[in-house]
Amino acid sequence: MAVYLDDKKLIKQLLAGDEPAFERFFEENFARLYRFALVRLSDDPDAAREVAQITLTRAVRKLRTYRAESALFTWLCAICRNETSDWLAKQGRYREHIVLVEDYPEVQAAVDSLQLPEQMSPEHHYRRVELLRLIQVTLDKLPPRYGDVLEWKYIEGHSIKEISGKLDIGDEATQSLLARAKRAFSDVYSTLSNGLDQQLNELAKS
Amino acid sequence: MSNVDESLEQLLSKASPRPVPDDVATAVAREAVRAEWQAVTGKHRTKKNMVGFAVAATILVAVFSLFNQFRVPDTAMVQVASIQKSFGPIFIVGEQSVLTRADNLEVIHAGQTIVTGEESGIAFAWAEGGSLRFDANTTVEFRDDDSVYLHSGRVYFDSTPSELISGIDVADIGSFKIETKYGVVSHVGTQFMTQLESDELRVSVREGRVAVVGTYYPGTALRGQQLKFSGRQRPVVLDILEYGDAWDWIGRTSPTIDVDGRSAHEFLDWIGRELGRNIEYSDETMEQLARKAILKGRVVDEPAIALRQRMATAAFEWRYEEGTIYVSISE
Repeated sequence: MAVYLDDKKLIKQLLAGDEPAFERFFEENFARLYRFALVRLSDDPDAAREVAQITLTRAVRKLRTYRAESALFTWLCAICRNETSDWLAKQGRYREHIVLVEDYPEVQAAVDSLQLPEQMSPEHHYRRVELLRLIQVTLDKLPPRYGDVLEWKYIEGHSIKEISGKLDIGDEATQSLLARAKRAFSDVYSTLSNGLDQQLNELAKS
Repeated sequence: MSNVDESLEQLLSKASPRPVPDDVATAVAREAVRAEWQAVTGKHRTKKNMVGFAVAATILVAVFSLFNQFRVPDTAMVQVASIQKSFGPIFIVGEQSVLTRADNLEVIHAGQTIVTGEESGIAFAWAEGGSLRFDANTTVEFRDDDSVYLHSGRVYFDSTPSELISGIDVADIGSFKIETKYGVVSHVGTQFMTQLESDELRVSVREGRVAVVGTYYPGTALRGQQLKFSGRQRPVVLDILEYGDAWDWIGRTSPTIDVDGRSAHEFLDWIGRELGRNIEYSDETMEQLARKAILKGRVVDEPAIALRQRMATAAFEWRYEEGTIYVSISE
């Protein structure tokens, strides 16, 4: 069984009352949990903020139970999922159907699908919207720095120098980080978009 | 560059930046989680009756000499309010969305965001006229000289407060709006309370009329009414009391008043306005006596306590009867 040593170390530091560890824990997870909750709470930003905050509060109470058998963010997402359900139940809302995607298609196929002509079928339109959403989901699934550098470079258009400045590292280190981030992105995105295709195929058959 | 790299970059360029929580939300959440973490690790023991984030932020020492650290627009240092009274932990949202303890803050500029902790409260003199109060656990951004944005919690505004509250211009009242995610609350000469929780906006009116230009529906409320917005539903109007438990916190935030040389009548008018009750005298003679009785000193206690103390020494009797305070001569 895999053990997430970096996450385990972070939890150990948190339990020892280490302030920088807390800052890292909060910085790396709050915004990601906010987005995780946002899509499950009908894009209600206040609800998402509240649920993300409750999730982290619950998590710090349960730090000792984290066994590093899954990534810390995965563990937090499990808590967040429960808190989202509780929040919806408390508000008397029905839980919305959440589309979960897993598995692997080619990145190029995804790109092709994004370049479809304007006249597209509802299925294609849905696939296109979902693939774009999956980019954001994928960025959140990556180690925090990977997601950030990819977003800064390719979505927001920052230069290598600017990113190096943000991270306080050299340009070469930034290039290397970007290369690793791209590989990781490709793997995760393939998995997710392939899952989406499988889901669409099943829908088409039913 | 490989084809895969190129494809990947093309793919990423199609996406939008990921949504992020706003700075205020992040700051409040950070301190709430930090407080819980500190309680868990025993780094800073919390008192049972203190809410998490408030306690946590007590370790952040305010350095007001470094004024530039606070979020104030560079271009316009517009002062929009001054603090007349505050108690409990008060915070200001600084750079990097960090809450900084700000118990000694005196003036507020447009662009600043104030957060009150547990068992806190603030009374402001609104620069354009009026008395603005925040209850505990409230987060408000001061947008400009005629509006604030209520993120969460409970605020109260009195457009024509008693003249005994110094520092408030009651002669030239400007407009005042409370913006919320449910819409914009504005008033016509009034005392009203606006409360925002995660899924509900409630506007309670003590006097005058309040209009809400809602995100989905408009609504108005008159004296003794409460307008309630929930989700995308049509607003509901309820009849409410203009005094009592729901309003008690306003008394706790009443600024100190100077009654030296002022009449008992003026003092009782202030009491009535702060408590949301009418003042009735047993007869005309009693009212004349109240006009002639001159008080001394300052009133630092909240109105309900001040009423007991001052009336005991003025040989006046008083009693609450629903929304009225009846005043008579002691026998």
